[in-house]
Amino acid sequence: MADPPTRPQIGADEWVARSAERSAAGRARTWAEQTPAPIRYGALAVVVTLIALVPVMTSDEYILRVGVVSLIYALLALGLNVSVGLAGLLDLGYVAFYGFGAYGYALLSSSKFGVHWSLWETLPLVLGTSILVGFLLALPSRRLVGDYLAIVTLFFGQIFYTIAVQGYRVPLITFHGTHDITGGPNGIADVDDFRVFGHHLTTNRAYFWFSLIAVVVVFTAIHFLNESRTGRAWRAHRDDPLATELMGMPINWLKLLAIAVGASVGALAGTINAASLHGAFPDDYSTPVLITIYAMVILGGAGSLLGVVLGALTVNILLEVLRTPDHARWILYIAIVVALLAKVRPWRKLAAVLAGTLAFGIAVHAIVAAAWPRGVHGLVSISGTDFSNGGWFGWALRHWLVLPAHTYEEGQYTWFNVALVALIGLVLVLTMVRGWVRWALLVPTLWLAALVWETRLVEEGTGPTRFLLLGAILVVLMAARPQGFLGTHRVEIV
Amino acid sequence: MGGIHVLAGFDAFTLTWHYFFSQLVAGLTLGSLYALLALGYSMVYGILKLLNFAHGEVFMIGSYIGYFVLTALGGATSPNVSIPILLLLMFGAAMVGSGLLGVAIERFAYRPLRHASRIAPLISALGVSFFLQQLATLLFGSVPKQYNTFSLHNGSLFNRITIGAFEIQYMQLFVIVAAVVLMLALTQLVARTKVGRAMRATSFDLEAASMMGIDIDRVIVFTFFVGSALAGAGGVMNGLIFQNVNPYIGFNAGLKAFTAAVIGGIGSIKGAMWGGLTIGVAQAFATGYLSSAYQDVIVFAVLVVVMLVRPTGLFGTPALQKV
Amino acid sequence: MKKRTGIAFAAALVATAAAIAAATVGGSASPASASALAPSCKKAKIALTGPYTGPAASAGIDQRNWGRLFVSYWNGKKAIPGVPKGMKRTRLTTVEDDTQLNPQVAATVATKYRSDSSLLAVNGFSGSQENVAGGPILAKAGFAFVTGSATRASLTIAGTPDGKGIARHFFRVVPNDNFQAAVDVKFMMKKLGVKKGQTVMTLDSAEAYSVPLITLASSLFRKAGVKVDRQSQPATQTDFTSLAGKAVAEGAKGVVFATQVASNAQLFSEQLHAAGFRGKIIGTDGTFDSSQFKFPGAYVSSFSLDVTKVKADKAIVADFTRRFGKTINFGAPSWVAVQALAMAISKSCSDGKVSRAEVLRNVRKVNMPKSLLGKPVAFLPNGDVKGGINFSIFQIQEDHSYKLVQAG
Repeated sequence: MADPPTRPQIGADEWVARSAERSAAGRARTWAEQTPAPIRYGALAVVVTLIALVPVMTSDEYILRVGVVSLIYALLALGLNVSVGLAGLLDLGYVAFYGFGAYGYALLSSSKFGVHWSLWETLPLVLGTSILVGFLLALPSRRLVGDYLAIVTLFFGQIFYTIAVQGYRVPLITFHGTHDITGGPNGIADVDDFRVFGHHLTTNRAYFWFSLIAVVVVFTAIHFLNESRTGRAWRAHRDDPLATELMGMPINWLKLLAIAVGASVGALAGTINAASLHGAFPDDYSTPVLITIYAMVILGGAGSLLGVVLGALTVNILLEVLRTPDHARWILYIAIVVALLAKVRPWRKLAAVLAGTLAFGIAVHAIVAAAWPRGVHGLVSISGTDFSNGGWFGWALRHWLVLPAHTYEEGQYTWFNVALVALIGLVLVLTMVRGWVRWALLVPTLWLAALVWETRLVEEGTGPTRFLLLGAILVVLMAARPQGFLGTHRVEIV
Repeated sequence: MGGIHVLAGFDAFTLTWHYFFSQLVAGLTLGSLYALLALGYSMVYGILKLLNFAHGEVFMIGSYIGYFVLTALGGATSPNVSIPILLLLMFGAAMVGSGLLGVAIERFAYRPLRHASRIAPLISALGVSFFLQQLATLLFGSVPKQYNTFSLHNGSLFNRITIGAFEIQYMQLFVIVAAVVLMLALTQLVARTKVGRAMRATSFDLEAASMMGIDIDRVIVFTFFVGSALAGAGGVMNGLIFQNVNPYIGFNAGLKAFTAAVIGGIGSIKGAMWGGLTIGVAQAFATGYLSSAYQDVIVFAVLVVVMLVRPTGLFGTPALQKV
Repeated sequence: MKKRTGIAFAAALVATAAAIAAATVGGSASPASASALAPSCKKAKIALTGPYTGPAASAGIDQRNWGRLFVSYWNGKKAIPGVPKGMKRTRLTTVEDDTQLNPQVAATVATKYRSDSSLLAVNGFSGSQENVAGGPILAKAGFAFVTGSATRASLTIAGTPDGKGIARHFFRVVPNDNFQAAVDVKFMMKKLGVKKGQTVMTLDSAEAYSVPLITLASSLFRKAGVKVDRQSQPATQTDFTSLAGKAVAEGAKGVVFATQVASNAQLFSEQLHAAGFRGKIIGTDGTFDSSQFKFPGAYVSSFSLDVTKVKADKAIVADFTRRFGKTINFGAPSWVAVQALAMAISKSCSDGKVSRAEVLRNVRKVNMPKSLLGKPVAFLPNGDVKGGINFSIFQIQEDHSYKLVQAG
């Protein structure tokens, strides 16, 4: 399939020319849509059951905690998907609803004001108030469109964060000094567990199941909403707001509804977060979290309910796995091999590239070993303070790459910074050339990538590397597959 | 009254002209910076309808380039060349460097997405933003770099000119004037030159412009170069007047500049200038007269008021929607 | 083309899942790690945490680097101030985690540590709110956790919501906010000549470190009859011109500024000067960094001495600079925190067996006659460091060095 034209072509109807691409792009989606409903729902039910069995199969608190956080993000992704994916409204203040739910629950069920309501009392109140706040946010949307609405919602999110942080000295409530409402930057601590039917949810396992049930319920509700008239109206608004308005649909009401639904789901996620964390802290509801949720929604495919849930689970689990340098190391090599497998055809070329990379590395290693012996006597980095021989895999790495002794352990990063910049340059050049030059350049690029990874990035693994990789993945994925995993390819009328 | 005192310190000293002018100047200085950044946003949006969230990082890199040039020339305490030459070299290097970075970002992160949905380039921009932030952390370290401009010429650059109740520091004057000069140059570029005409045509109607024989890709590259060069200049100014450079300054500056572009009417150059100045002045007045704690909230209130009165910004053209 | 990409995507997902499965089933998937599932005296595992990304990254990475340097000194049997020469050192291995100064991440990291049965103790958390969120999880898991930077006073007061969950498990080698506020206010009034009825501007940076500190300082000033102009500006706003203008216009005689970004303190001081302010400036211990905050005439309060100036630490600081670049002083207490853990582990391992509970008991009994910070270190029963009320005031000289003007 030819690459889509990057410049408008005179004489060619672009819409028609891109029809083939449109139908192919949604292949994952059309495949899903073509299987009969009972099989689809059955498959979903099986998957949900499997996930529900995870707390039974393991008692590892870490896995359960990661599961709880992932499910909370799945809820958030579902809620954001309603505004962005289904209705086409760019809501950049979504994290404020998340925080509102958390703080609302925290104020009503903690030792802060001595109020300890059960879940059945707080949840409706918090959800109701967040819907009202959503209406407030949606009011500007009556007059603003697109990017203008985006900026207003963005600031709305900033405002929530400022109020949360400064809320330890709120004046004017009574005319007598200031009052501590939100606890300021330290937040509200000692928030109660959920009290449902007399049970206290105290363990990660309990919150896991609660979140899973919440995800399933919200998923089903939004699915039915999406299949209804409202959903069709939203999709019409997303695809062409002007036409929708001219058709006589109540645009303002639709926007209000979309934002309100998103707000209530976000608030629900917030209450679960506050309860499982036993506290509400402002930094959990700041702009970086918003960006993470957006990344999940886009990668999963805005507009597809299953897609955003998958996106949320994948991104969060990926970030967690990348936390440990050991695991991160495997991820990189597996990703490279998989990418090569997918992109390099026929198999002869693939074998040539892999063999070439190995040979290149061994050759460079031999040359450096002869000229500067210390240059290859280094060890493999396991963590910031641990360097070891690394078993058989470490042996392979040490003989394939150039790991200098002590240099990188002692923080002399200059050469490796140069290598990092050179690697970025090489990758960019790779995207520009074609033909045999590309394959030839791929070999040193792969080797350099492994070298930079082992000497510089693994060490920084838990911090800068994670977000470096996330950024790179976002760029590459958008270039390769802009609609995300299961998203619909949006039709833009010129 | 303890409660009210927190929010509104309306003491006697705030009700003087001198105080008013001092806050105004502070706001104009800050606003000039925002305006320079907002111009880049507006120009790119005008042509591509794309919100370039990586623009803030270009600003950050420009600031770092200025720092490295300054250090290479001996640092602020004992520069090897005279001050005008020093400034010229810093600005030149930063503008060229940032321009090239902007062009590279367009080529590799946005061009493949030119016909995708609206959100894809946005996410790509976010990815580039993350990437550049962490790359700067890895290459330059997370400890802030300081320009130390208060040591330049023994601090005389920050002496004040006083005309009655009006006071302004030399450095503040320089920043405002330099920003105005750059913006005027840009306006002339867009209004008088052939390239400028091409830019205007492309932002009006991309397809028609290509049909008229304008090389769209060249125009877009040029736009990105100019916009990013302005951001680089803003980065150097940020260093000169606000001293500190760290990998995360781009994000916040970008956010404010984006707001400025929208307030002024995104796509409009005049709007970006006025939007930036509005935001800067609003922020300064909020801090000076009301409360530094809620300065963001107050700027937001101004934003909402402007948007509700003029939904497409101060100078934005109401978007004609083709049916 | 698109189909292959979709397959690649799916394959990557499957591979990720496989990696996770492999990782969780039998410890680490990589043969390159020593995946001991039980605590061991051959290679004792501790955790280092901090904000390695985000606006506080410079502070967190400095902490991490000091921790790394300590471990390499300890394992390399080099001389460490406060460690007796004859002490048998159990070899340490570390696991590092970026908490991003985010409590939710801290809680996840704490749960991860809880599940890791070979982990003995934790250096963390850096941020006060992280200790509120993640601390109780560590406490339930039986860990001792020692921090070099969380100074919120309520963390060591067992009756408060903050202190409830972490009592008897949380330790810090730096004093809490209450003491520093009192010392700063007293110094400004008694030694710097700020009198009743005059105005002082207090500024915090809207985050967990500075807000309680400045709140307390402001109320102490008010109690003494001084007018306080309380300001709060997030550290991401790097322009203080408006505030400088206000300080001059209101005739403030002094400024107290609490932030963890020393370069902001430098900028604020310079902008104050440029606006015509000639009063006294005090920066709190977050600004204690002679390479960044170097405004002559300003004062800095700090618990410890400047490690870059302590003679006994010269070689260690040189080593640090060679490996990691310049230190910003923020991370030096982390060296001491990790030292406390290391010494406790060695003591526990004297009988060949070690457990989290035993390490915890020995951390409580840690006693360093001297340390990198130039002071002896031992813990009170509530987790605070002994002698914590001793804050010193330094004045910045013309040559940018810090001169001790009031010993604590």
